[in-house]
Amino acid sequence: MTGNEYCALHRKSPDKAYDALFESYCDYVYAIVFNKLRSVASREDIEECVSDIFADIFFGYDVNSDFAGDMKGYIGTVAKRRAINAFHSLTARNGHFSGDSDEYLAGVGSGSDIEAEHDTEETRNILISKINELGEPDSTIIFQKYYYERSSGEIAELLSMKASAVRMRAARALEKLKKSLAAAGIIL
Amino acid sequence: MNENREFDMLENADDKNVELLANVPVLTRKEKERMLKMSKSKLDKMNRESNTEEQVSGVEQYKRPKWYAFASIAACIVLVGGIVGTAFLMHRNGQAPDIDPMSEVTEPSTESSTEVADFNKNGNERHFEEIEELFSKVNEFTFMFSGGGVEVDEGNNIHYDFKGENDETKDVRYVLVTDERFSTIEEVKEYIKQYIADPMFTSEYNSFFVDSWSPAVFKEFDGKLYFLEKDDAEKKAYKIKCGSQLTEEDLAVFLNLDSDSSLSGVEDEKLSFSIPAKIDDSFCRISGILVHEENRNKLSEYSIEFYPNGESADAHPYSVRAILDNITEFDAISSGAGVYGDTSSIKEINIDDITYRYYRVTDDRFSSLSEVKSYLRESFTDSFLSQNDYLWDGYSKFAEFEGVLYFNEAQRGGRYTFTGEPSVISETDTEVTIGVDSTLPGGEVESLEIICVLEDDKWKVDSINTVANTNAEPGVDYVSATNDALHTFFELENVVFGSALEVDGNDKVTVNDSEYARVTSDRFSTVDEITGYIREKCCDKMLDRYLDTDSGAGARFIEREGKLYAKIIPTDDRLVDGAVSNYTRLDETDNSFTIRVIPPHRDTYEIYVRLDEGEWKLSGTTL
Repeated sequence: MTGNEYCALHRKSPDKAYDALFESYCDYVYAIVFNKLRSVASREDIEECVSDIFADIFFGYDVNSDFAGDMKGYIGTVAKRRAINAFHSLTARNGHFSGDSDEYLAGVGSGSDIEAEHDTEETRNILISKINELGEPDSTIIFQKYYYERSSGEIAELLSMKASAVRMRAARALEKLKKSLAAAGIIL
Repeated sequence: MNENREFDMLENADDKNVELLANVPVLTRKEKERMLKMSKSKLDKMNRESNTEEQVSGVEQYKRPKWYAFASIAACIVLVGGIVGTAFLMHRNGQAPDIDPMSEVTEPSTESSTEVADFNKNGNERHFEEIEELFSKVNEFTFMFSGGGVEVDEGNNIHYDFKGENDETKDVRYVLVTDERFSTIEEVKEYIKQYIADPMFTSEYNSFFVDSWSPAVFKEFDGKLYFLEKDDAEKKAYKIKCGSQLTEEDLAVFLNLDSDSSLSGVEDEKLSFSIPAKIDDSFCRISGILVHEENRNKLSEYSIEFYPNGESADAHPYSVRAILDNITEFDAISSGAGVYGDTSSIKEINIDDITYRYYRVTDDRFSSLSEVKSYLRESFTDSFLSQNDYLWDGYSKFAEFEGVLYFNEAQRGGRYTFTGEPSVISETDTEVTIGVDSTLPGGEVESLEIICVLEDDKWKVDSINTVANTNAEPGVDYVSATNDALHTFFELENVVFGSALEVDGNDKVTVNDSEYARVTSDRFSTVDEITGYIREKCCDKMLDRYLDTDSGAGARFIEREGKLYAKIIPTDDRLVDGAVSNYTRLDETDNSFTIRVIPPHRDTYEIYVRLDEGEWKLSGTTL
């Protein structure tokens, strides 16, 4: 969705503009927030953060702007900033920093562990490419089940499959993934 | 929180991988709706806080849509309008206003005016957006209860034996609901109650969850939710458009009509509103009340006032939608479904060993028989009402006991269910004919012509006639033939045995101890004309019935000195009601069929119809 499209729609109906913007970018914003908060937040916290981000965008975006490009960049920036803030407040509220958060803060703070970060990124890329090699629907099921933590019932609903079939495919696909990752030197 | 540590390495991914993860379908419709709703409510809060700051700084931050601009102006004049309006009403009622308008206007109630003024600054827009959202929900519910707008699994259905009026059983097909919004009846109710306050929910929506004269729209079987899906839901469900859904052209019409929006009341408690709107293609005003419950405003009640079609400059403009609504209301009143009453307050009367139960009417519209008549006379001509006098004559629908209005508790389905777009077939300064389709209780569609006449500066329904069904399949058009036959049958019954013809009770003659009153109706002036009409419409045994010299027209009508007289008969002797909604057609052949009529309080009877020299004629009845 471009800035112009959003502004034109907003002039006709702000509510419709909000609906359209949300529909276009909710998966993207959710992915950003989930990626940042996965280890420290409940699903409710994540939903809360996503809705905070959209409220910020609805409120803050200048509807008189003549920006003609995709709003994705702006939305991504607001989402990341909000997600990082939420990460801080959640870890502070929980009274501890998890290993991940330490790692995260270290990464952001000093820049000294660039090599380690590069290794993590390398491993991440391999993992993602190996999951994608599983093909559909197994790759989606793996992401949904082991990364997004969705139950087999929820996945079944999203993919119009039976929960038992999801469970079976997930188990087999995970086994296959582990083997393929082991061959690449990564132990899951 | 995360239990699958193996996938932690995907966290804090770069933009490219986040985009890839964003392509994984993970959010259900329900989750999306929940988050969007939360976002909007957070936005409302931010707007409220920001508006408070604006008042201090005096900076306007965002643009208002045009509609809201004049909405706000209107809100400013609400208080004054209220007082002037009251004075105007008092004046109309023939009482001189006992106030000095100027002093009232210049010294208004400080409390109320402050509230109104604060709204303008603090968020009329928000409330009007809320109202628009609420009416989009009302549309959603209307569509749902018309049989559409719910996700279902067509292949998974259950047949249910619905026991309708007269204990007739109908096979009704329910389909399994797969909609994410709800999976139980309770959840459907909760879904609606998010937007509709309790009294309105009970009066408007609760009946859709129970079997009454029509089957419930939702049902649970084996703990699963099922829905009564209907193919014509889209056609049947009307849509209310307001706010941003109105086009520039619509707004221009409303400006012409001097129709503004207004809002008054106490924020976060109760707000009254009045807004311009369109229902299908008809311009109207919707007035109603929002109440604040569970942290949001809900619709508590609303009423619709239609503007006339066309230009407001017309001397006597009419609204097709208002006319159809009046008929629907009449239908609801005459069927019993649309009369509010206290079912615990019952009167029983016994006639011919049949017990009739009447319940006390608690309807705001009328509290006596004369008020019922006056109410209906606003929208229907005397001629139409005399055709439908079963409402108050004989074994009537309405009755008064000791000065209190009661209604016959038996309910039956409505006669008219309008479908499709109505059209104006012809119009003059004093008469308009509207064409519209209506679905019969059995599901067939009939085409109607509604004739309205201008009477006392009001457009009133004078007659509703079935016309030949031009969309019918080739072959015999039984639907039209049945309707024509029923119409003729009731007309003849009422001419020969009832009170269809107007008489002058002061011009009477007595013959063989029987009293006859002079017929003043223009339709017939001689006995020959009546019998000629009967011969035109009937054959076989039906001719015997109506031309019988002991009981039929031969006994009912006489001529004296060139004038037509009708024997005066007690109304209780009438044999049939003026209309029925429940009937079936049997034994169809190319040249005959039978109509089985199932009246509310009498035994079922049949009417035989036969093709005679190319015309369908009544050929007999079991009565």
